[in-house]
Amino acid sequence: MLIIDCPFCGPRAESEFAYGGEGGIARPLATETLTDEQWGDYVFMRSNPKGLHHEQWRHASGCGKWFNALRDTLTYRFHGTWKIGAEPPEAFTRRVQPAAPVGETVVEGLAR
Amino acid sequence: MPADTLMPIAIADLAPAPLRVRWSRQQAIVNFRGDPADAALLQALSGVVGLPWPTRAADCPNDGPADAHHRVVWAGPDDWFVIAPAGCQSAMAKSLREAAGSRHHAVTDVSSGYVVLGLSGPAAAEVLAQGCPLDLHQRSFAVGASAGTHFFKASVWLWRVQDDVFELLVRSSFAGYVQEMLERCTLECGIESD
Repeated sequence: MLIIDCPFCGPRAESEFAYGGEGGIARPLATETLTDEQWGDYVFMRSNPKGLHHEQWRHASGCGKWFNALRDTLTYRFHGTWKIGAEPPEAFTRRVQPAAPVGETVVEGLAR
Repeated sequence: MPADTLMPIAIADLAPAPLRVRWSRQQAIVNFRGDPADAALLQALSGVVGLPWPTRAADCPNDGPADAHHRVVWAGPDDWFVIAPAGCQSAMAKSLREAAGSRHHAVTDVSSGYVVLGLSGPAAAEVLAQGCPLDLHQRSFAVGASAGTHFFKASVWLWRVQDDVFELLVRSSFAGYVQEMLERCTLECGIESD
């Protein structure tokens, strides 16, 4: 079974966790000024990389806390987990950022 | 080789003792949320329950059987369950509120939402292991250890009271499901309800 290192509880079985989608997507601040296309990008468009992926996970059958994870979508290997707001692992800053998906517009001030 | 070294186990040892199951449906269960970095708060809370206040999952202070005494279960970095004798939920909630004073905190009586399940017998760890991913061996889950985990599809809080005695905090609506799964997991050793 896949073991995930909860930043609060330590290494636990994957069956205790819930996946929460891609991490680090900031909600646009002035939503009333967004076009439908920009809003659609924020809601639906994801990077879907082959390789290291910034993810959100929740220790659902455990402490219940959300945290960040860096997982390789090719090998399933977890390269690190860290608390929300904490310093990410070194592999996170080294990772190659995926190119924006075709058709995606880049919204000013929207952290990817 | 002499025969007694080939057969070191007496036949009587092979007949497993039944798992003893005890549902404590009347326990007072109070949820407390507050700042874990506030040492004075933790000290005050510890004074209320008369036990050390745990700051990590591994510790579940307890002082004896669940129906007569107190437990404090770490449920998250800022989240705890206080389990106390039946009927004293209001008094416990009041004491916890007084200990927290004007600090940012939350006290919630969740007695009707959870039940305490006691499992005892030499088969207890193996029965639990059928539906729980934790390593329940003594070397990694010793007496006093506690963890939030799951028993099959039910999320539970689990802690070890003695070598072969465990307690679980189960959501009331999952109690029937957990009982059914226990019955399925004890086909070999048998099950006895207190």
